[in-house]
Amino acid sequence: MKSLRRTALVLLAAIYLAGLSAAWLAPAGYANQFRESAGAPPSRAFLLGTDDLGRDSFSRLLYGSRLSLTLAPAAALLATLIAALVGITAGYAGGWIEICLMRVTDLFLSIPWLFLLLIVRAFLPLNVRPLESVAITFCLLGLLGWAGPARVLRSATHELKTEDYMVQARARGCRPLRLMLKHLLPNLEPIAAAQFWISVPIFILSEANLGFLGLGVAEPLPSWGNLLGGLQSMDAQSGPWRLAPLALLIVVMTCFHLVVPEENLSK
Amino acid sequence: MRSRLTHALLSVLATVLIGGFAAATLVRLAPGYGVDPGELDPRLSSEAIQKMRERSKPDGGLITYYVRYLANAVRGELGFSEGFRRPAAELIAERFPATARAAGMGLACGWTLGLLAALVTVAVARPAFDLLAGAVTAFLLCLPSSVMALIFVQGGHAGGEMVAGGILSLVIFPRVLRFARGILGNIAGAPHVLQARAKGLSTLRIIWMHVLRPAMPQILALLGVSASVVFGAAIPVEVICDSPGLGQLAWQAALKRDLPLLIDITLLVTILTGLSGLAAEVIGVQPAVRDTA
Repeated sequence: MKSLRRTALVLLAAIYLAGLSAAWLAPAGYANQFRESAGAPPSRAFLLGTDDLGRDSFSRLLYGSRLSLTLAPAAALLATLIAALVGITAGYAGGWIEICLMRVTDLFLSIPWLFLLLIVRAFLPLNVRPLESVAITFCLLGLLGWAGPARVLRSATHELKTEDYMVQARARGCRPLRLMLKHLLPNLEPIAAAQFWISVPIFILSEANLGFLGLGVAEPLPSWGNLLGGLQSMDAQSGPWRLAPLALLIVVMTCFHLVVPEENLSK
Repeated sequence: MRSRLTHALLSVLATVLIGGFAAATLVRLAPGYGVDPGELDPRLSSEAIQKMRERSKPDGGLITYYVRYLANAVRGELGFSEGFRRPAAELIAERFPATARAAGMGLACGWTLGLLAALVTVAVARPAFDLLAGAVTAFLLCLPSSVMALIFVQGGHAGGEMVAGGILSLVIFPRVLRFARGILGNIAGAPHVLQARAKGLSTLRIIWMHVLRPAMPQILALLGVSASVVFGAAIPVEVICDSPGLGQLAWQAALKRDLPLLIDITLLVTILTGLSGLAAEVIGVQPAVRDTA
């Protein structure tokens, strides 16, 4: 299992690096159109063929991977930071602060995730520039996806608060801020890291669903969401190479499942 | 048990009330609230536009709006959908049965299949079987619900609520299987199960009496979460399968920026999710209470 995990990590790193070097690896720009070769099959010039608008599918996949694989972790980081702030404050302070913070967390958790995204997305303007749509999509994911991790971190804080070394530190007059920075946060770090790794694939899938519904990243910018949305125009004559974004998504998600241990996923 | 149920019921109520207030705030703050799109008609005179503005001007503040919304909701009036030009309650009543049937089928099939598969993996207890279950779970969890729906539709299925229900069951199945497999696996390795095996009890009896029954309250805790997952997945699934349910309506409302309707649907779904969590609490708590009594 360890070697499988290591392989998954290497594969994930390779895909990530390929996405980051899209500007050098991609044979064409993501919006460049080759109108005479629209819907062309794979060839030397176009490794994965072209889409219906004559854009190189391989280049778009690379640029899409760069966007999805950079911004999903960024959104997950934002969500984990908010979760840490809420969860640790609630767990450490207790009393009314905890009740209020957990009520808000419950509210976020009780609304189905995609409905919550849809409401806030509909609140914001729909007709925006591509770069703004990227910012809106991933900020929404980060700002709305903190509730689950916050609950886990609050429980962990509760448990740590009553540990012997914490009680002893408090008895010796350790100040709350020092207690938190020196004793609590370092012990919560692995749990927060696990929550971060769990959030990344969830956000990738959510972006894919939003892109499918036409509420994610706007064209011509490619993301895994709108690349998968392109599958809707597939028909019996379409070649299997058009499934490349789906295959890549499955590979990446499987790698994530292997990298994050199952006991963490079930939390 | 009664205090736990009361607490759970109060939690659902508080969530709906706080959620309703947050929703009312969103509606009031949304750009374009209280503006009639008819104002853009170039044939209208400035006096006519002024009259329209006065007519559609929101009266009272946020709290007044919220209290009025709650009072109307109690009477079954959920406001008017500007996007569809119809009362929201009428639209929701029309679309709800399709989602209820698809979600019900998804939950029932997903749970049955997931629990059965988990029981079989625990009963057989072969590494190859375990690996297979893990691989199937991982594969299905890797697919966004929209892609699952697309695969079905591209595969020649006509769509509709039955197909939507089938896809929703595939969304639920891996979650139940993974969760139940973990819990049942832990219990299957417990000393009391080993002792039962040593005493020569049949596998079926061990699984039913000593593994499944003590695990049920923990497993049922997933019921509320799975209802939330099903309703969330219903949006892309109903859109792609062209099933005229609440998910499709929510998507259409989002594209029309019809926030009041979208919020009505979300609050209804939140209540249903909360109630399924409550149901899990009732079913899950009862055996434990009976055992300790």
